[in-house]
Amino acid sequence: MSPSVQIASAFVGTLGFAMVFGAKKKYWLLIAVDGALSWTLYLCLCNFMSSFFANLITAAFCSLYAHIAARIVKAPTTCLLMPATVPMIPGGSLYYTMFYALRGDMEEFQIYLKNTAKTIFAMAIGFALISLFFRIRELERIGRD
Amino acid sequence: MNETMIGNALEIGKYMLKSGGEVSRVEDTMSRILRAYGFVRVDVFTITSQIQITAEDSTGKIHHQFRRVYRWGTNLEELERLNQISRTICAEKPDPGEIPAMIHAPDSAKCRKETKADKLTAYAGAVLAASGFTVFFGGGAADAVITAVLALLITRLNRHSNSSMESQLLLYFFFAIEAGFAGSFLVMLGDAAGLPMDLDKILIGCIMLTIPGISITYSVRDMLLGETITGLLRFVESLLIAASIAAGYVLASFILGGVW
Repeated sequence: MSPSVQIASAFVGTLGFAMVFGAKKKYWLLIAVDGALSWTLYLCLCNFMSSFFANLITAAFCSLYAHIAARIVKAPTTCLLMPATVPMIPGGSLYYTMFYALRGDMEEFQIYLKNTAKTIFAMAIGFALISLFFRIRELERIGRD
Repeated sequence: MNETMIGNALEIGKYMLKSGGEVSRVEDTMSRILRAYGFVRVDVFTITSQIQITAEDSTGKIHHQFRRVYRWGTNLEELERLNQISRTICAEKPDPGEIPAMIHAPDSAKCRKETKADKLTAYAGAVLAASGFTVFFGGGAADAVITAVLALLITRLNRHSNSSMESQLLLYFFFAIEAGFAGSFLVMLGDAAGLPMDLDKILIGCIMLTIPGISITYSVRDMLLGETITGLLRFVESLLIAASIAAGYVLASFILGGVW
């Protein structure tokens, strides 16, 4: 699978989720660009580091983009962030984990379980770091007033 | 009047949770609203299925109320609308009696009549999302077309079963069985017509529509940020949903005799 096809399909898929989740029309492009850019970054980073750190940094980037964009267009951050994360989330591997568990194929199950857990944790750390950063900034700003 | 205001704040919090708002945002919003109306001390505790609140007003009287929240789904436009309302309330402090009308405005998710454009967006979104991810995971053009058909089917099922089926898990289980059957059938038709397709890639695109991948990732984020109970609840809920989706597809493949 060539990277350009994957990035293009990440764009389309993200756009689809923005529509499914009921994001406002004027944000669709912003969200889809976030999804596609994040996936591009992920593919680049995978050349230099393990997928764990690539996921962590990508999630942080995706979240940072959404936070900044949300401040510019004055929308809640979640509205921009949630659909944009879809290309990275381990939806497929979460499904395969359960699928192999139910079929009793323990070897495949363990591989997918490890992958899913690693991705989830990496992304959760990336998201948490950025929200923490913005939360602390917010607290400081309120403190100063 | 203070009781009414607490009721209003809870109502806004409830609808935010129902449309997929984060717990920390809900707690924050409710505290802000009540403080704007002169409450001196506000304690809000929220998990995804319940909100409770204890607030002390300026006369020293203490009020308690709580709301139970059933079923939620992601509706970002509704979330944004509620966010805007709460900002307006904090800034303009309208009479508490007027607030329910703001919450249940004609453009709210509950009161709003669905237009043709909304319907089109829901179906087109599902098609783009599912087919997009079929290609993303390595499917070809024919796979993407079949995925689009299944995505339409799943969206139709989803929209028509919301009220009739109480258990969410059972709902996802049935979606998976139906999509599994329909997918296998279409692939067999394709094979007979000389158009080879990859069922696995088709199904994974459809699965992305229903699998709680976002929710499970966010639940771990919530736990890392200190919302342990909320995170755990959503984590377990996501695992169960993922298991029932997988069970549906496994059952479909089992009945069809190991087609894949």
